[in-house]
Amino acid sequence: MNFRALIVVGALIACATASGQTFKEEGRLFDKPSGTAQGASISAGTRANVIERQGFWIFIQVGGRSGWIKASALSFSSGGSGPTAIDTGRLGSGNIVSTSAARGLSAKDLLTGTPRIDEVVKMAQFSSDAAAVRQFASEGLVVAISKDVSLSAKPLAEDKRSASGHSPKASTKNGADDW
Amino acid sequence: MTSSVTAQTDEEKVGEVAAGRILGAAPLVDVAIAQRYLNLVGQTIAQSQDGGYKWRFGVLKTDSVNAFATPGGFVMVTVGLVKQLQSEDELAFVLAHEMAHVLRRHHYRVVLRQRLAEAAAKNLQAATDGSTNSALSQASAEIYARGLDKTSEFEADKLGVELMTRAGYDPAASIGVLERLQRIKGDDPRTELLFSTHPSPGERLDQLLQIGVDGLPRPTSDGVGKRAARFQQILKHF
Repeated sequence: MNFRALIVVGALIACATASGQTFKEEGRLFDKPSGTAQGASISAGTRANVIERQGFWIFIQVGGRSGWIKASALSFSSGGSGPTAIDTGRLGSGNIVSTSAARGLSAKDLLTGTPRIDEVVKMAQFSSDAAAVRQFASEGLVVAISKDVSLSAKPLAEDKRSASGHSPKASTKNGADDW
Repeated sequence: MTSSVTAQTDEEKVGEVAAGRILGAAPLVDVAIAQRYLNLVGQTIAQSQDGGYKWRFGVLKTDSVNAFATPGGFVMVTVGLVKQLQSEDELAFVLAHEMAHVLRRHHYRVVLRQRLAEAAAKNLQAATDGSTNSALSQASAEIYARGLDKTSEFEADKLGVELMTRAGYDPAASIGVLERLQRIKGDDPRTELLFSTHPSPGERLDQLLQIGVDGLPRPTSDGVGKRAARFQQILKHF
């Protein structure tokens, strides 16, 4: 491998391991999730490295400091890691283009494969009856919520219709976020 | 090619044909315990909502990282995607996102618009299904190769998180899934189709946080841990 290739590989590795996000607004770090704010404020736009997540709290490193911050305090789409519009072949906002993947399930595979209705029929044999589903949920301590659960319909991006097509509802907030 | 006798509504017929196309590219993985597990998780989510669909779930035999939903209630996830997940709650988010596409009829509406366009071009009435199965099959493949618009994907994330939370799963798992997808290198060929047909994970994260996902009620940590353990048992089969 020549020197130029080594530089490229090194850069790719650096991008893959660092998960940099930015502060949406000025904020402070917390000593633990839902804990006490500490230290000086950090300016909006400051880049931070995500180290760990616990629920909706994220442990970050910023400058020479580290601490916890709510996920909602960060912008994840302004960081430099992960796929970009150039990587995915996406052109412009909202436009989607197909790509020619070298491996894996590709657009070409979908377009040229022979349909398998027998496999579709086979899917049904793995369904369970209602009693088995209830038992599964019970064993996993999955307890359905009876009250209304809905998120605000207001999206980030400007759009001519609401995200759900329904009237906006207030979100339910109980603040439980300690693990 | 004939459709199954189980297909009843037009929506189901469309979905069956589209699912057949996807399964033609990647068949069901031959791990019955994983297939049953996936169905149990999906049906647990389905039990707490009133969609009226006969849901069917399947794991596809491919390392590609992706998931699909076709009209009428057919939901498929790849082995590659399952291997990226760390818990049953994260799997619940993925399945709920796909179920949301079905409930909002995102793909079915595209098919209907195409029919109208074709009928208009041929100067025919658009009241009945004028497509043959093979034309429908090809059109379906193109929809999944091309992907939906961003608004539909954001809507599926929003409704998906609501569905999983209502069912009793942890909405914070949605953050885990998207953050992990974001860490995948952009040139990984296993994710090329996924990233070409969805907004970036970062955008999706920002959208969910903007609309208050972190304010949703969360289950107990005991339940999350227990479910993560049984998910890990299933992972061992891959």
